[in-house]
Amino acid sequence: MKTLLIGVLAAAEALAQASPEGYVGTETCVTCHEDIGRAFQRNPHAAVGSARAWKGRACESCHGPGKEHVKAAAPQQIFVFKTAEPAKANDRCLTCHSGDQTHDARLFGSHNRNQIRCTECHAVHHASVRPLLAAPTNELCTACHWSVQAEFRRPYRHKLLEGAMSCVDCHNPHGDLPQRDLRRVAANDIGCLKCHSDKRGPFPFEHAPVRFAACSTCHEPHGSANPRMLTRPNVSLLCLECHTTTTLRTGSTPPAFHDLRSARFQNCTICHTRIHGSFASQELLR
Amino acid sequence: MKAACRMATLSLAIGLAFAQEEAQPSTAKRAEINGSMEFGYRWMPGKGGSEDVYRSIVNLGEGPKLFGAEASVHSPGGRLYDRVEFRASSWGGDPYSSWRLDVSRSGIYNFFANYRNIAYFNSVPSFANPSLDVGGLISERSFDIRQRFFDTELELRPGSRFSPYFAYSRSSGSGRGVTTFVTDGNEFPVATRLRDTSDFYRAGIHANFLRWNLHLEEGGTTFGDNQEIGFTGINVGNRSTLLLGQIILLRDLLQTYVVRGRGTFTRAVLEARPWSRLNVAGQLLYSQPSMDVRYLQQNNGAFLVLETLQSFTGQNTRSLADSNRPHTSATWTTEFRPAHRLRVIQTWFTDRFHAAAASSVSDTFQSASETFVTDESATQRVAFNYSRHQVDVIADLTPFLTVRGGHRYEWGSAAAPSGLVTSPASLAAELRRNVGLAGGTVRVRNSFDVNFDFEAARSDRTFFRTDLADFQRARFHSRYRLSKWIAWTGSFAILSNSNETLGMNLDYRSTESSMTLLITPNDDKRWTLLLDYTRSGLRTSIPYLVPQDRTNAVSRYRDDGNSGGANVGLALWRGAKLNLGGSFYIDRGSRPTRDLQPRGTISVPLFKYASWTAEWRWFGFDERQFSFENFHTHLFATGLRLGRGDTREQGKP
Repeated sequence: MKTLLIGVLAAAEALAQASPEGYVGTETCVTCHEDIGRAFQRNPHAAVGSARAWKGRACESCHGPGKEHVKAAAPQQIFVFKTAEPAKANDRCLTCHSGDQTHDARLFGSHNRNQIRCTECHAVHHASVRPLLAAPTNELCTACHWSVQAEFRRPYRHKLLEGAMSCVDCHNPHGDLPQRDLRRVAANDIGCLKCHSDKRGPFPFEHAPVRFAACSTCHEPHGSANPRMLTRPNVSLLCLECHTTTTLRTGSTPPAFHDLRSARFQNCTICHTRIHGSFASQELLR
Repeated sequence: MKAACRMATLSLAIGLAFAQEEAQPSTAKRAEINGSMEFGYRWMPGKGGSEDVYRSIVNLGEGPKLFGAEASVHSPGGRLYDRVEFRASSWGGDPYSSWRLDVSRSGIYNFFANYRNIAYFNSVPSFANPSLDVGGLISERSFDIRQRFFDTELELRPGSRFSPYFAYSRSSGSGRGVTTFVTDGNEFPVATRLRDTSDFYRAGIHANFLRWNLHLEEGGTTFGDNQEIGFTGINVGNRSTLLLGQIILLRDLLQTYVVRGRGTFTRAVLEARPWSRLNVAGQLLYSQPSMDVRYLQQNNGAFLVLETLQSFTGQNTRSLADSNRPHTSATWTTEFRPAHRLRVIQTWFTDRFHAAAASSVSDTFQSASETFVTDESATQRVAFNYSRHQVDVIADLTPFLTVRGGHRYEWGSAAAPSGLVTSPASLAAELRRNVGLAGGTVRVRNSFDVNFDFEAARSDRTFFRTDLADFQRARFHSRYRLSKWIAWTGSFAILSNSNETLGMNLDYRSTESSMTLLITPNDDKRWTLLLDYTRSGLRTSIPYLVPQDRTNAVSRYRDDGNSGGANVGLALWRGAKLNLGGSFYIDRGSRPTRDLQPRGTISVPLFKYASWTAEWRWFGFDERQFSFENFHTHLFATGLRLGRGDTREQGKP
């Protein structure tokens, strides 16, 4: 009798240690949410359940104590990310993830301002796509930014739909420095220069808009009906829209020998071959 | 009694520990291995039209292909790794080949390596072609290069208090192209050999604490460019007339660039939550790239120096230059929650650099009678300062309604050399822009949401003539899940920008509207339907000065694009699947274009882990103004898919 009593007490103490006040443990959650429990075993978050602080309580590390939920069998009694206020839901994720490298400019990001939940893109339970995404990256982005996908159907485009790249090659969905959550390379250069590194410079002879403004001054970054993804089909007009003398603006009218009636002068880059910056010519000729 | 309880607890704990130790090997053995690969052959019958434009836009070729391969090992409790994933796609001469490897052990390390080999081909006859009017179809600005990218990163102790990482990236390009050699009064299309390499190294550490995180990173870059431009023969160039009674021609040319760049960069990021209602974050970014250039040029032929009206037959140019660009950026953001449903976000951002360069050029000109030398040295300075301050107030009025309002102020100054002989040595510009912000989000359960944003701005100074000045921008986006199997999205955006400053009169207006419909009855098991349509329009006009006579003219551009796509997925007998659909793009604007790409795919299971796949595509590209650029082709591919599981992965955001 005495031995039995000791055993019961020991089990009670062990249970008390495993399940602090209000917590029921993963085993209890899996009783009802069997499919989630099974899928969760392949999930990097499963490691939380082996950490000392959350041993055996991986589900409740995010969803909070489940005792009331188990008693009432009602979703209102537990924290559900889908229905919670976005700021609160994101706070839970950021408890662990605020220090992630990709979140450095989170507060600056447009998704933060528009209160997009982490779970809009990340499927924590059933993700089969890295990194815990609900669908492949480009599908996720275009689900909201559909008109951007249409820009990639233009003939001269970045090969996104062909699988050569993904939206996150250029944009950081968690937020980045202005503009448009564009990624940066080498600390603070615009992300375009990661692939187009020959345009990075510093050139001995710079072309101002390449440095002062984004590449989108002259190029449509997603896709264009014009060759070289330019914003205009006629290169000379693209240049002259800025290169017309106006006070207090960069850009000046070319000398008079640039006779636009001649085909030689209708595409400025025939001569100004180093339009992104030159190693050896002030006029960007070589 | 107490001692007995402790003893029993200890015994139970030890027992549990042993049980875990015993269980571990069996857990480690439960490695789950999945993998698949798809390989086959592609044909392109009935190819017609411009080969150059086909390669510039599509560039898929014939031959045996490895369309894709995937493998994953998931081994919970493994000693060296608990997760390995590998994916490769489009190998066998395709223009976009890639592979990626991810290996990790939870809490110990994360490692990835990523490689991409991209073919860049661009030769569009209507671009940079002064002989187009007389039937010439060779672009004088074209290239055919391979760009290779390699990225790798090792992060140690991810998620722990101190987590260091090391990363390396390499980007290299090599290939051939056509460019021009420019002299006074003429320019000659010549061949160029392109070869450049960039390396990025970085290492850093994350320090993660309960209320604050610190991220420090230090890195370096190197760059090398070894272009060579050469020609031998007789090249009369683009000029069809005599210049001052003389024909300008090129007999041989060699231009070599030896360019070496290097730089360092630093990044420091601090994020803290000193109080439950306050988040603060700041970044300091600094980089200092520099470049040394050695340029050599040797050319022979018949040339003129227009400034001195001297003719010459040979030229030898040596140029040395160096440049550097210290560049500092900083941000500071606070997110304050004064009340339960109210957030105030204040952000400040500054970006400033100056680029300084010095160069010296020595030209030796040879003619039949004399040799003359010119030496020229130059310095250049480009300066740029930009700042912005933004305040957003976000209020969750109800759980279903969020409203936003705010203000942004942008200011800055810039100075750059004019680059043109007839202009002042330096041009300066300033920016002053005030932007009002408003917006909101309406959510009705999880089935319907609407998001809208509005911006209105006034600027009294802009950097460029085409910059955003006085503009209004509105964006509207909604999603509606009608039932479990019907979802609809719609969006509309408009941007109207004008600058009525004297001599500018910029008028810009763009609209974009799109809608999609997704039908997936029975959870995607029998058939699915996806339809989308987007209409985009752009009208812009801005006056400019015609260079040859300084008269006023207006540059007008119109874009009137319609694009859409459809895909029907059908589940056939015994697991076979058929997909039919495609996309179109029709533009009736300044460059009328029609691009059609219907496609169909079928997948038929053969055995348990094998299926036969086939694909048909058609590419039809038409340009009304430049019909010589049209092309059309069928594309058939067939292959075998072996394996099981789906280990799709994407680039880490």
